Amino acid sequence: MMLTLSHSTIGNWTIIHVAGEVDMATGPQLRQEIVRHVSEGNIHIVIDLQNVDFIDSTGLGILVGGVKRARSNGGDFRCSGLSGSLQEVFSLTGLDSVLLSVDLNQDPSTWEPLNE
Amino acid sequence: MNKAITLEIPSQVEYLSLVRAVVASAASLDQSLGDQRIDDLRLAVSEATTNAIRAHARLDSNERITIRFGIDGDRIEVEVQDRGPGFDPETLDPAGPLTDTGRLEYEGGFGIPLMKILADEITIESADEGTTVNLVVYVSPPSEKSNN
Repeated sequence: MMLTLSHSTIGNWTIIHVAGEVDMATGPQLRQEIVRHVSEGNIHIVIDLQNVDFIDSTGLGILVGGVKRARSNGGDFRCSGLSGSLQEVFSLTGLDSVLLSVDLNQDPSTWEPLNE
Repeated sequence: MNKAITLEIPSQVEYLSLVRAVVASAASLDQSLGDQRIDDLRLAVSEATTNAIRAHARLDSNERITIRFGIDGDRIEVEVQDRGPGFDPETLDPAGPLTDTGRLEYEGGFGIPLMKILADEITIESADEGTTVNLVVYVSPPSEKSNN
């Protein structure tokens, strides 16, 4: 199973578009992409999961790592496009408490601010 | 176990998607199991298989991982068996909520809690010769069964 990654920008946000299944096999690709963007100074990141229909604990851990990396560099890390199945997993694990979801069709200035 | 399917896979992460596809397809043969429960089973089995692959990697083992799938009445049962070094499931420390200070430093800790939430029943038997995880999903969840 392949994972397809691409990116775009909205204002100062980098949107990482993910397509495929995120698991122990494909997750390292996603981690590498997140690390690359943060190291290049793109510290405001949205992970677009609209075309992801499966994510396992490895993938959840990578997103946790993304939150930590972005915030520790003064940035922020969000997600978008969750299917019902992914929403359930995010809720069950409590990931939705630290990884806020945004609507990419709305202006980033309207997104819920980070509450720390 | 009726309608049993046995799958033996090499201990390689590339086979995880195959295991998920087989389990989801086999579970969908029972048309009374909804899509959400199939997704739950698919994720729980994937987590168990991921742990099995990790266990074999620790042992540097080339042995195969066995996944047995069966439908017995209103029970769908999946067993994932590895031959890696075992562990004591009782001694696993829960990772704690993600909102806890310092929790974001640790990317792990989701797999076994997810299996416990998603399956209606789970047993983990582990010894030096390997670990067997048994996952059960009811076609009608136990709470609904008791109400009938």
